[in-house]
Formats: sequence, structure tokens, C-alpha cells
Amino acid sequence: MTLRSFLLRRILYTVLLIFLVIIVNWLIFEGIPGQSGAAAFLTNNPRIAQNKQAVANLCALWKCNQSRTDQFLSYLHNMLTFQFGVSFQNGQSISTNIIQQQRLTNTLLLLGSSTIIAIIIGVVLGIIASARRDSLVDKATVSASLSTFALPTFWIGEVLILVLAIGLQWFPSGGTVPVTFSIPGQAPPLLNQIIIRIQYLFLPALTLTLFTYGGFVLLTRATMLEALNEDYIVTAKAKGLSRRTILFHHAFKNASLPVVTSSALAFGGILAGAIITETVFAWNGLGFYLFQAVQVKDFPVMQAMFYLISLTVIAANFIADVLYGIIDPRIRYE
Amino acid sequence: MSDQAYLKSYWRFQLHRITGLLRALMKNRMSAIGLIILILSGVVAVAAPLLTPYKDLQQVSGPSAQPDWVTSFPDGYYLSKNFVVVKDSSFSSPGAVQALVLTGSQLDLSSVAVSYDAGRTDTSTHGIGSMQLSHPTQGIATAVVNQSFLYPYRGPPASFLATASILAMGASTDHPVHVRIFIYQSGGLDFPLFDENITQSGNWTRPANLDSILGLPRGATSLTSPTIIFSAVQQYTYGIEIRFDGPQRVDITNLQLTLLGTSWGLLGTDAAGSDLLTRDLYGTGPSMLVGLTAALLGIGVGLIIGLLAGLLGGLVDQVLMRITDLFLTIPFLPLAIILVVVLTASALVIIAIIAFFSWMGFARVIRSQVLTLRERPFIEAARAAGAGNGRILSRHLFPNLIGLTYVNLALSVPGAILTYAALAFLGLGDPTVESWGRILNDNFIVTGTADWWWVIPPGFAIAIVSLSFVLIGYSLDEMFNPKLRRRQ
Repeated sequence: MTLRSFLLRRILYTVLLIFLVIIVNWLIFEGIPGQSGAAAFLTNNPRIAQNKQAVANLCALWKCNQSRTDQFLSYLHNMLTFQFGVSFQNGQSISTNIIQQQRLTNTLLLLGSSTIIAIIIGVVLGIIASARRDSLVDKATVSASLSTFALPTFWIGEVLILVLAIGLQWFPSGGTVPVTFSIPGQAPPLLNQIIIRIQYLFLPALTLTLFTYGGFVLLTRATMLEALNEDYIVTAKAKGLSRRTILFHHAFKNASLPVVTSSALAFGGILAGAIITETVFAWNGLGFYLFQAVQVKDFPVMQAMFYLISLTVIAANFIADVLYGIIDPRIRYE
Repeated sequence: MSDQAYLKSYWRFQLHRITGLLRALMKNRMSAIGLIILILSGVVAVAAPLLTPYKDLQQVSGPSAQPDWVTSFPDGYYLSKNFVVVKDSSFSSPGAVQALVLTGSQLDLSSVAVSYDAGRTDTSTHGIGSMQLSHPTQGIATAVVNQSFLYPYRGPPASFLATASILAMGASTDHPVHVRIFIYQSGGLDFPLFDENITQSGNWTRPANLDSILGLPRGATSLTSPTIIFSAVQQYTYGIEIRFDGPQRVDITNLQLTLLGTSWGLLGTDAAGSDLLTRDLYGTGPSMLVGLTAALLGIGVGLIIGLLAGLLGGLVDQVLMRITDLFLTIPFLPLAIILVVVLTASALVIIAIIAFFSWMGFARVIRSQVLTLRERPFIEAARAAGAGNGRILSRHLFPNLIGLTYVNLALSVPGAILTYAALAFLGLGDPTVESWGRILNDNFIVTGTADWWWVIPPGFAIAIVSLSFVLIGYSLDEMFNPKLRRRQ
């Protein structure tokens, strides 16, 4: 199979997956027979239910009197065009809300920065640990990494807030940007803005990094140990090559492959951590929006957030697959 | 060998295997620590009701009280503790009446007789006896029953509650008994809590919610009633003033003034005033149980799907593995959040959801293991000897998968515990079940993480319990997986 047909198959599979997510997403909220989610929301909300005119207006807005097919078609249209419909909570367009509040950018900023830092820390610590197997450094690194699997993300965030934000007051305890940024004429110069933004980003990113790096350490260490057991390493040692050359040029080059692909595959898990981190720090991203929607049972927003988050993960998986196909010379595209 | 003897030797063998496993786990330092933590938390989970004198969510002090030991730091000078004014509020003996002081004008007091009434009491409260004030003559007389006390704390209490049950015999609309309940701050400030006529004879009157100064609208000022009244360390009087009109008799019982403090116990209280240590202890069981059951279910599903895919092969394998891939791609936490909101947030539903999305990794592992085992000579030999699929599965394949199952079970419990904690933290846990995640959610909603004695213990407990499973899992992995052993 050629690379081209491999790519084609992956693309087809990805498109299929997206449609599946769209259908599941609809079934979860509208699959209950009898009522649409919007109609249920209106009847379950006593304050609105009393006002017949308001119910009629809102019903028109959320299309709760249309037939099931029409509802599904307009939902499908909303998802494919990224309009996402109208929020239950305030009647605003969800896509405008996401764009105005830069929610997607905020999430990607948090995810991107912390993932990159976590990979760097993980790879470096993993190589060091594998090079000094069974030493104190190795044991400390492995225990520190193992403990990240046991630490609740939200609690790491809360402890960081307690110590660094409330105790030492080095960083703000939550939020994305200070209010003054949005007031015309009040915004500080660009350089200060960047510094302040980094101050706000620091604690959430640190939380997410602490949540993520352990996996990368253990993975790098395991693949490195496997590589260091290979015969070509013995050969390299026999040739008298320096430790550093052996570690980085011989062992890590071969061990890096799983690290690269698993970084993309770990994206789903990191996103889960991001939802919680955003909530703890009131970081104005997709996860925090989902949390806010959950509080008031704002179904359209929940639907949209699940769709967007799924899309991000599916895209990451697609990139991982393609990367794997391109990087690994052994792969046969089967 | 008879069936019974076989069974006996079988169970002896199983027991031997488990003790052998435990012994091996205790040899490794990591897993020994894990095992000890696990056993200890199991004991706490079972014995929680014995470890604390309070019930879960029982109000013991003022809301968001700080721990007692804060009072020994300079910052804690303004904290107060729970304080009870009347010693014997149920009037169990005549001493209760003697402890109270009766004041009034000379003339009035001469016409009022005081006695202890052992039988007559307000049975809807904890009353045993009552204090009886008789006024046999015509005309008006006023008597005040007092209890003085020294308020010993520099800061005000979080709240106070005054109670009294009053029975007025001979009261009528024309000749009511007037009752006034008050707190008097020595120095001349008098704070009324209750001020009404009793016009009905023979019914116990129980004024409710006496927790603020009469006439002070709630939220009218930033100063609350406790702050206004208990503004200094000094003498106070809690009293009830009775004005007779004609021949009447008044019984008083259940007389009490309770002050709820702003400091409490080892870890303070939550926003509803319940002991946080008690909640942490009670949260142990459910937090662990939900994680364990979800992990067990998930591992069971993974085992079945992995075995099916590996053994049957072909189209079944293809379909099952595509489904597995699919489940691996869907981001679990957001889906779980949505499902919990749409379905109900009950513990069983949440366990099912977590289990439903945690079998994929293990199914893959089992499938690949079955695929390699299937080709081994001993399976071939068994097949040649005429063993069917069922026998090969139960007698030859399954024993070879037990180790893997243990490892993956131990390693998937932390994930399940953390997922439940995360859901509960987001406010999506079972509202009827206590858990560490819920304690943290309560804190997050109220204070946004300011009180560290509230935040640290439950999170630390989650981490420690999860860590014990991780440690055991990794040691088991090393034990069962010869690949991980060092090259000799």
C-alpha cells in the first residue's frame, strides 16, 4: 500500500469518526423519545414555564416544535458550519461567544504550552533515569512520575493556588486576563500585556504539566531501557564512543518514535486534565465553558463543547497516525 | 480423588496462592508501602462510625469554622468556641431552678412563688421537669428569670440560638401573659429576641428561630446580630421576662442559649457547620468503593472482549478492535460529564459510565496475549489431546492471564478513583453519597480554595489511596512480567 492510499484511508476513517461523534452527540441529548431537549428545558424551568409567550418565543428560537428530522438537519447544519445554535442560558449564539471570548485560543494556548513543557521535561528526565538505572536519581524520578498518576489534577491546582497565589501572592489565583485589558485606553503596553498574560497562564500551565509529564518520563525511560539493551549499543560501547553519543545518537534516536506518536495519542487524556484545570483556575476556555454550561444544564453549549473537544482529539489522533506513517521507515501502511 | 477432597485441596491451593502473593508483595518495599496504606484505608472506611463521635453532615459548630489550633497562633485571637449558657436546660433536678436568678421589683416578687415541677414539661423537647412561677393574686406583676455568664472570647460567635418553652395557665386574650426573651450586655445594652403576649392557656409556646435581634432586618447591615451583641469579653445576662396579669401560672423549660463558635476541632467545619474530619473519614469508603467497583467492571468487560477477539479471530476480532479504537478516540471525561448530566448523578450510573469507558486498554492487552498464547505448544498439545475451546480457555489460557489481570486491575483503580473524584469535584457526584471529591466541591463552591485544612486532607487521601494501587500494580507487573527484570 502506498502512502497516498494509506492517507486516504485515514482521512475516510476520520470523517466517519466525526460523523459518528455528531450522531452520538445528538442521541445523548435528543434521543429520549417524546420531548426534545429544548422543550424539556422549558417545561422543567418553572420561571419560564409560567409565561406562555416566553415559552412560545423560546420554542421558536430553539426549534422545539419542529419535527425530529428537521431538528436533526438543523443540528447537523449547525455542527458542520460551526455555528452550534443558541445557548439555553442567555439566548446568545454559541459560536459568537466562543470567538468573542477567545475560548478556543485560550484552551489551545494552555494545552499547547503545558504539553510542550511536559514533553521536554519528560524526555530529559526519562533519558537521565534510563542512563543511571537503579540509581537514586532513577528511583526518585520514577516515584515522582508514578505519583502523578495518583494525584488529582484539580487538587494539584488548588494546592498551587494555596501556596503560590494565596500564600506567597506571586501569581493571580484565577482568570485569564485582568479586566483592565478590555477597557479601551486602559490596556498596558504590549510587552507588559505579554508578561501579565504569562503570569495568568503560569499556574494553570504548571498544573497541567505536573499532570502530564509523568507519563512521558516513564515512556521515555521504558523505550530507552529497551534500546539500551540492544546489541548495537554494546557495539557502540565497544567502539569506545562517549556516553553522551551513545545515549542521544544511538539509543534516543530509536526510542523517540513511540514518544512522538504517544504525545499525540495522549492528547485526549491531557484534554480531560485541561477541563478540570480550566475549572479550578476559571481559565476562560472550552472546558470552563462546559463546566459553566453543566451548572445550568445548558444543553446546546454542552453539545457544542463535546463536539469541539472531540474534534480536537480526533485531529490529534489523525496527526499521530500520519506522523507515524511518515517517520517510521518500517511501517508498511497496512 | 473424591469431589469434596478435590475441592478442599483446590481451595487450600488458592489460599496458598493468595498468601504467597501477599508475602511476595510484602518483600518489595514499594508494594509493601502500598499494601499497608491500602489496609489502613480499608480499616478507616469500615470503622469510620467508630472513629468519630459525630454523624456525617451533623452540624457541630458554626459554618466554615477554623480549626481549634488556629487560636494558639496570633491570627486566631478573634476566634470563639461553642458556648452553652444554661447548664441544665432540660430541668432534670431542682438544682436547675436554683441556678437561675429571679429578679424584679420587691413588690412584684413578693406575689410570685417559684418552685420546681418534676412532672410537667415540654415533651417535644428534651425536657424532664420545669421551673414554675405562680402568681395567685389579682393585678400585674413582672418577674425576670436570669442566667448571667461571662463571654470569654475576643471575637463574636458565628451564630447563636436561644430556645425556651413556655406554658401559661390562666392566660386569655383579655389577660395575657407577656413574655420577653432578651440578652443583656452589662453596661446597659438590652437586645430583645422575642417580645409577645401569650393569650392561650395550657399550650406550650416554643418561639422558633431566636437567632437575631428583634426588629433588626436580616442583611440590613453588614454587622450580624452575634457581632453586635457579643462585641467584648464581659458579663452578659440571658433572661426571660414574664408579666402576669391576674392569677396565672407559668412553666418554663428547655431554656437555653447556644453560641456556635468560629473554631472547631482538628480540621474545622464546612459551610453547613459539620465536622470536616468526620466527613473526611466517612468519605473514605465510598471514594474507594466506587473506584474499585468501576475498575473491576471495566476489567471484566475488557477480559471478555479481549478473549473473544483473540480466540475467535476473523470478523469478530476485526469488529471488536474497531470498536475498541473508537472508544479510545472519544474523549472520556467530557462524555462522562455530559452523560451524568443527562442521565442521573447516582453512584451506580457513574460506576457504569466509568466502567463503560475503561476496558479498552485491557482488552487490547488480553487480545495480544491470547494471540501469542494460542500458538504455544502447550495449547497445541491440549488441543491434540482433545480439549475443547471451553477447557482450553479455563484451564490453559486463563491461568496464564491471571497475572496480567491483577496488574491491570491494580493499575486501573487509581484512574477510576480519580475520575469519580473529578466528577464529584465538578459537582456531578452522587449527592446522597459522601466522598472526598464532594468535600472538595463544597469548598470550591463556597470559598474557592482558601481554607487549606479543608482542601488538603481529602485531596491527600485521594492521592495516597490511588498511589497505593499504583505501587502495588507496578510491583505486580515486575513480578509477573519477566521482560521488566534486569538483564543478568
